[in-house]
Amino acid sequence: MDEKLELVRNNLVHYQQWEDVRVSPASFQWEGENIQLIIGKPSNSEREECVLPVEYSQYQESLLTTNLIDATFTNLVSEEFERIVLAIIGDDGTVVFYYITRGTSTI
Amino acid sequence: MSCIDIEIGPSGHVGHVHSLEAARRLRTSHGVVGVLSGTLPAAAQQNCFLYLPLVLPHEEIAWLLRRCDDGDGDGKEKVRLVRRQVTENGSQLQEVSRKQAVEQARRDEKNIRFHMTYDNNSGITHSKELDPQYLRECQCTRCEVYTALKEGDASRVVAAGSRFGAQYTLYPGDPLRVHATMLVLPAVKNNQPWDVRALLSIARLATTVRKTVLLPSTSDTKTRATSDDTSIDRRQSHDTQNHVRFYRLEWTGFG
Amino acid sequence: MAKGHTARLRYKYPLPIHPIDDLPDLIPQNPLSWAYWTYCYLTKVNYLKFRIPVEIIGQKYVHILVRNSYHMQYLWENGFFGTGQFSRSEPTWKNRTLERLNIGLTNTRINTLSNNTIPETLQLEEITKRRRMLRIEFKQQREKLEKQLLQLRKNNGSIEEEKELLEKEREMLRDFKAKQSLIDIEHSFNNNERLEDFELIDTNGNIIELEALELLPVEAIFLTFSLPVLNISVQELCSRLVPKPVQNIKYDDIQLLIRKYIVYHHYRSRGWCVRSGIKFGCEYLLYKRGPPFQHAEFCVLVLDAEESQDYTWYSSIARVIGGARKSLVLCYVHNELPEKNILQLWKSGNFTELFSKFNVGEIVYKRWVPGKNRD
Repeated sequence: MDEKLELVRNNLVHYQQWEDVRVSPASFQWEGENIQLIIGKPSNSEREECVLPVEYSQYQESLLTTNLIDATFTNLVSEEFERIVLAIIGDDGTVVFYYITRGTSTI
Repeated sequence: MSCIDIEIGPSGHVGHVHSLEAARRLRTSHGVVGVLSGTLPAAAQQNCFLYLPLVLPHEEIAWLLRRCDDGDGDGKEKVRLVRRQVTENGSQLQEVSRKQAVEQARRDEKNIRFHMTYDNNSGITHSKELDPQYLRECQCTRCEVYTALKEGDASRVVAAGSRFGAQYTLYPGDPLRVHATMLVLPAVKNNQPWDVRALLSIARLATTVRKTVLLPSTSDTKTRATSDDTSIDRRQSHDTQNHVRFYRLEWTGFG
Repeated sequence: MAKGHTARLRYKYPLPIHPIDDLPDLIPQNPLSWAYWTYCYLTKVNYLKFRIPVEIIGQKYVHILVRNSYHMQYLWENGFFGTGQFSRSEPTWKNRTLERLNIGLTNTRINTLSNNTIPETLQLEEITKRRRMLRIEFKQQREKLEKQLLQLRKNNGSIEEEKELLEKEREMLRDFKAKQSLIDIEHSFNNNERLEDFELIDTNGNIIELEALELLPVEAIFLTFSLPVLNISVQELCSRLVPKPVQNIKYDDIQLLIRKYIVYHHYRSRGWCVRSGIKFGCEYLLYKRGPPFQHAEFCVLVLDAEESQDYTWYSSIARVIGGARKSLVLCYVHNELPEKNILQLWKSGNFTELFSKFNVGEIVYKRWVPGKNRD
């Protein structure tokens, strides 16, 4: 399990107090980095969420593009999930969580 | 048949509506609100409450023209483009066709240079000339995003968003009656790396003002921008597909 | 009162450099006193006697970690360096987990430096969590009311009905504000041990220290280049931060890192406590003394001297920062040398020369509204 998965997984289990947290086995490579999801249930909600860990650096360009998000939804996320949680790992170690929904042509 | 006249300014970037009746109809039947830019005669010494002319951005004009051509809405509306002609007796507004407007815009572009100027620490002023092609590409993108937003719900009002640092603010109805629900950011290309810091900050801001953030993303194919039309001229919705996709971004509330 | 006093004592030194202020008293007539005093003077040093080891993980995106609890405390108390991976700022995860699982010393916080137990105060994370839950509840109720209002307006309801709904909303707001100000200080001693918590406990029944203190790259550079605190050389650190073989490094790879470091160093050397500003969408936050004392007053954005963005970029950040009641500082970094010289200095490891060839200027950017800012 690579470092970013481990960090986000520990954060979810021991800081955010999520339940039933597990790393989903499916993964793919994107520009040299491993893209993999963590699935779990937040403490105050009934539904499970998929979490995608992504690194963010003060001095390097980000890996995040719309193409990456689309690829994640197509390859890793099952149909029932409308949104995923983006876990952005800052270079100070803190992780911030944002929901991102599947791309649609109209809203 | 009633008529809405829109005066096209130089380069066709914005249009002005001078008639009160036209402004009212735009607001009620088309969900086009624009920005008032003139002095209010009844209270001339303040600038909180403004009056006509109503300023419409390029993408709104393009959408209106297409909508009235395609016979959407009531079918009773006709939108005309007019241009100010200056004569010895004063100035008057004359109708122009779409094609003429586009040609005039091209001619103006050659005479008008868009510059960005700034000083560096040593006091030298640099100026970077903006390529008209780049501007046209931005306009194309904005037109596509605007059309896609209006397509979802024609009574939705797509207003200016610079107050929140976004491109547009979306209202589900008339801004005087309802609160805005969404902020639309400037579109990114599908393969463009995100400015994560900027996205996070505006997503946080949106949480405090109770709105959701929409990120439009356009495809990275170059087929659109090389064509030499502005969107006023093109009958867009039929021959080019909508390349725009929207992603909703919001803070989860934890972390 | 007491909190301010203990905070002053605990965070006495703004940087990991301690002036020699604990020499013994000197009695001028007594030669023995002189001997003792001179001995103390000559043997004391003002820097750390040991170097703090760091662990660097990751290839392209690196994380710089300090794992030892004592070192974590030291770095936090001497300049507020780093952030706990599972905490908001200070690494308090272990104490909070101890409390939560009711293991070991309950109701007291262990101060590992001096081995004193301090009376319990509600930890920052707990307060934040409770405030957030209250806010979520309030928001859900408010959304319900707003939907009702919207329906009413769409169906052209009467003014009285609208007034009723608005009055309900106002009452809810009053209740919410009252609840916020009395967040309970008592603890709920619920024994919420979960299955996952068992992986935290080792064979002796103690909690393992899962949390590490993570340092920003610029903080790590500061603690090796400017002050000898970390147990790693500047060259090695920089080669990990820009993980390419030296011949292949281009200017674009290093320019951002250099610029961010210059600004960090600039403010640290003028006495500010500089911390990560990612929560507010900026690069750094400037504190006068530190996070436990007052909120940060300034948010810093780092820009190149030649750089210019369009109006919406500035206004969006200014809006966020203004909403948090801070001032935005635009910090421009100007390099005196051409790009290839800078690259050359980096490759040869001559960091002192490299970092001294930059100028920093700053502008405070504040929104001015003619109607409101008249006084």
